[in-house]
Amino acid sequence: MFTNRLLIVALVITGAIAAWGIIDTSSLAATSAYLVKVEFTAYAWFIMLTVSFLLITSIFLAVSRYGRIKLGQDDDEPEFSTVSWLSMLFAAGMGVGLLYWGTAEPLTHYLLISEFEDPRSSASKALSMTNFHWGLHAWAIYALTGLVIAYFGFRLGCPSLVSAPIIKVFGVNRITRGVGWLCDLLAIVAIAIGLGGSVAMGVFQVKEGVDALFGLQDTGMTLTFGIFVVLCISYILPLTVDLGRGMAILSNAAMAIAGGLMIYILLFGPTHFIMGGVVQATGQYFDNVLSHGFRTFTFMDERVRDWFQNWTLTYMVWWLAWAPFVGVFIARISKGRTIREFICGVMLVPTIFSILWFGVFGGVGFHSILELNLPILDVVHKNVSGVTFFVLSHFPLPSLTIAAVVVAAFLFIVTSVVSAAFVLGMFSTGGDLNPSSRIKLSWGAILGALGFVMILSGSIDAIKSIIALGAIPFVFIVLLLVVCLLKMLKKERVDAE
Amino acid sequence: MNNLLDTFLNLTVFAFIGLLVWLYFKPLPPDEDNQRDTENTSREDEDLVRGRESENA
Repeated sequence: MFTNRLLIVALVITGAIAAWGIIDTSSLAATSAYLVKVEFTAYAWFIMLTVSFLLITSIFLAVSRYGRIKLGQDDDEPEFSTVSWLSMLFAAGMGVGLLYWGTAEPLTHYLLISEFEDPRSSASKALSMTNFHWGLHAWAIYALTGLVIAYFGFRLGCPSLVSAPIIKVFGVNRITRGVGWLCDLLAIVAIAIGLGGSVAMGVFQVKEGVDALFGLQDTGMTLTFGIFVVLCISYILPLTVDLGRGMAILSNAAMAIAGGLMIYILLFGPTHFIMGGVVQATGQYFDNVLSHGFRTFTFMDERVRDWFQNWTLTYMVWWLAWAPFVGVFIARISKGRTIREFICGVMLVPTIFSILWFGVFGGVGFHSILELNLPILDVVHKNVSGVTFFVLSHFPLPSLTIAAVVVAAFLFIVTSVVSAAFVLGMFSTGGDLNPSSRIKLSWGAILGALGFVMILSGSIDAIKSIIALGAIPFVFIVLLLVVCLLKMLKKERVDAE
Repeated sequence: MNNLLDTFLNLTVFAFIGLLVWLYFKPLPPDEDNQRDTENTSREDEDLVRGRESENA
């Protein structure tokens, strides 16, 4: 195990970040906030240009004759039926982020936009902005990265590694091996830090849910750490034994709960208001989707630019950093699909689901502000982790729905950590599809330590900066991978002619 | 200082975009498998020729 240089370096780097955070949390948070501010200021235009380029390239590949190329050999058939494939894509798109930000994100944007415009038009703009963060641009990043992994893996027989396309396209030499090694290392670090952030967000949300469920007050960090310990114990078992389809069942259960909640809110909430909001925000989103990708807010004042960095840029680099993790998953289930099917499925299905999700949860939040005058914006200001529970507490059977969110959030974190430990084990052992339990446990421990650091930081903003710092190099890596893909597709076309 | 850093970071982006364009248009290295097949075939041909020459002699 300890003869693999990449594994050792990756464990040392992520372990060092975790140790720094545990010893001096505020210094890690302040340093990452400073570095991210500098890099975001310099790279804002480049990040937006990159995500727009990725969206346009995805659309081009789907509609061009490259769309007919199969992800596998020409006679390979899809492993899963279209319905189960689409439902698994839903699973990849869902996660603790949607549960956490469902109502909180549109309302946070609303707070800023309503200072410039009237409240009612601010609501639809806030929803449209949220759709932009979770919509086609995000999924184009995942689609292209997944496409690179699937094309090189299934059609050209390369291992499922970030470095594999680089070495395949530019040949085996010292430079490509060095760059490939560095890309694998950065992918591992970015995934580990990103997942640590998700663990912390999930733990905060579960803690708020338990508070709301049992009417607890001032539990402070004791309950948070208690939940964190239970979480760590829960994911140790799946890391040591192969539960086979067990993890898929847990993930599907979490998704079913989330989907059930969405339908419940839609039916028991102000249905016409919510659906009206969904339709309006969808129209506004698709009306501006391309131009929105080129918006850098350069001529706005500093507060708007800060908001742009804290939200839009952070999300975009976050998706880029998660791309190898999600890409591996969606590539694995897509063998035998054509490029056109793959891109359409990966981009459209989760985007439509996200639009519905935020339309429902955001819509009910706006209904609370605009029609019922509930103090939900105070909750957004004071405790963003509690917004979802505040909304649910105004619906029938709040104990049941709050308990459902707590269970779903918990299951989402456990399944994410187990999947991430597997992908990290695979990346750090040269693409081994069955990394040993010891390696997966080592990654489980590092992910737990990073999650602990993020919890110690105690602030969502600090978590976002630390994640963004690990994620920024991925802007460059994903572009390099796309160049590899385009070159090989061109070669395949020339060879065929 | 900040301006200098900003300029440097942007220069890295320009250089990277230039590198990507160059890499895209750079010819692919010969495929290793094909190259190995070609080398094997030509070696077999040479052996065949050498064999015929020795038979003629």
